[in-house]
Amino acid sequence: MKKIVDVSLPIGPVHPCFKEPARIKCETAGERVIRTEVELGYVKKGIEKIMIGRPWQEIIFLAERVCGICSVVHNTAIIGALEKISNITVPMRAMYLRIILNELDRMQSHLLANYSYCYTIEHETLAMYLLNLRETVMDAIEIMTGTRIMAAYIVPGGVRTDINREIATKICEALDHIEAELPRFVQMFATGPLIALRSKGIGILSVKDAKESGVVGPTARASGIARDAREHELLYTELGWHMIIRQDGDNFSRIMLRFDELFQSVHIIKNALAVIPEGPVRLGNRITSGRTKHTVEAPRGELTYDVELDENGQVIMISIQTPSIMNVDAGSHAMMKNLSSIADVTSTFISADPCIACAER
Amino acid sequence: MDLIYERNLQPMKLVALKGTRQDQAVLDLATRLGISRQQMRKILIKGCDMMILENLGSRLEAADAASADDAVIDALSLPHLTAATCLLSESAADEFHRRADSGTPISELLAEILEAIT
Amino acid sequence: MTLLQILKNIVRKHSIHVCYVNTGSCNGCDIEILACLSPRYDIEQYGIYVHNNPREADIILVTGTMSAQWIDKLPDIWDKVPEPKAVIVIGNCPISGCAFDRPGALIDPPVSKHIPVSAVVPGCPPRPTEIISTILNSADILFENYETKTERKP
Repeated sequence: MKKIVDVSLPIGPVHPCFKEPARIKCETAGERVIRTEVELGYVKKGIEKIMIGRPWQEIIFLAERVCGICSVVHNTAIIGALEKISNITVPMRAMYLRIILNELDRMQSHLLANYSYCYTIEHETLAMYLLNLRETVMDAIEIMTGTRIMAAYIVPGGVRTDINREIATKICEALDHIEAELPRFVQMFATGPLIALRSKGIGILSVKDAKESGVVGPTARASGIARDAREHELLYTELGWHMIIRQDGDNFSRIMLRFDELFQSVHIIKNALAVIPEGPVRLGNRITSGRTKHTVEAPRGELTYDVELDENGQVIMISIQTPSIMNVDAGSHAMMKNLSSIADVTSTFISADPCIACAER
Repeated sequence: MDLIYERNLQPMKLVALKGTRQDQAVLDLATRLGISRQQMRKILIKGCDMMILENLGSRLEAADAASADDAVIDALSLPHLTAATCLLSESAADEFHRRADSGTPISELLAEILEAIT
Repeated sequence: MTLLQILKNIVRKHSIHVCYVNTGSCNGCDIEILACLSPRYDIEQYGIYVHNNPREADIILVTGTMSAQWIDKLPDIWDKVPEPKAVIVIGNCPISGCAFDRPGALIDPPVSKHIPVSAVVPGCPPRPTEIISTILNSADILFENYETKTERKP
């Protein structure tokens, strides 16, 4: 980093605000932040490299362990890619179950992201409320799949287990609880004067900067860019999904957009549970060779798997494009530039929901 | 100057560049500028920070879209070097663009650009 | 046992400061530690405070597979922790490398190769209740009569 100012302030890698190790080097002039540089490399494991040459049965578990927060969506993406290669049809009931689990996963991820932000701006009361609400969602996931994280619920040609009426009722009860509790917390966040001071107009991401680094997910949608991989999936539109967009592009609108999406996810799961058809949940088929690119919408944005398999089912080439790469990049080069206070660096960084484990793999 | 808290990031940057998607992006950019992959890696490691290298694929895609409708800019790959990788300053890029418009041959300018970024 | 020692034992049992260090995990274990903070599990009712600052910690929770960047940094952090101190590793990764311990990976497990480890919590990831019970059970043994212990920890 070139020295153009006198003080270069490093934050991290072990910092109370960060869940994961990352190092932010800030060039400051007084209290003002001129520019920042995010330094990675602390969680680089080389997952893509160790995937090459392994059979697909091992890949699906390795792919799930790219990220622990959004493990379900990594599972969905790699299985979707395998099914696309081998033309495997998925029974209708399994597709509904996949959507239900994915939306539950999105809810817990968004709640965790908003918890982290509230914790970073030192509003611990609201943060703890949100974290407690997340436990309700985790319970619903546990009832459905059998474990909290790393469920490996989705398999080629369907899902691992079916849900019965009792489980569906319990998931509905959990959703009712969230729908009853969440508006109060959103109200607290939206009207809190001190929260507004720390969030509104801070860390603005303009459309030009967003396009330059290819931002995806809630970070892009909060800046007014209509970009969501779910719009290409017919089943989502049938279940009442629509694009949510906010225009301001600051920290406040990113967090409020996640709250909006939480309500939408509740709505989608309830619709899915109401109209879920009867039938089998798992059909068998063979995995064949081929190459494909598969994109799904992760809680943080578009997740793309580019996979090539040989005839034995072994991986020749794989590339994982995770949403956090683009979002952390935009965070470091656009959002954290010219901040008026060094105290806003961590909160701006967290507001883009960075997942370093995803970004480095 | 030897700083306690600054580490040599070159090995980590090279690991980041060796990812499948990043490697493809490096190859594409090297073909554009007419140099080898090793030279391109060296330039990128020297001039870019870690997050740009990790996100090289989608940044270059955005630059491709920006340069699609102008043949001169595309031949000189100016958006790739300014907005996408920050190797070249905006004013220098404008200067190169102006000289290309006034009739200087592209090959000569490319050599100058290469000299400017190394 | 002196009165002072008894007092110290009681105080130490009810005030355990924790710092967690992610040495290249997938976040799964980290969010389970975060879940311990939630009012459902309420780690603070047992007197465990998650500070994330090695200089005021008693126990370091290590998650992750020990990636190459941490090989020199983790012993540094371990040196900064004041006595008495202990390390508890969370998850399969620091114990064995889990699914990542393959040729070509940029990791160097296990963590016990680099710093002394007192207790392990296997699982991918372990449940929050397991993490809390391990911290509580091992802290009692590790910090009791620390001053008069004959075999000092390295």
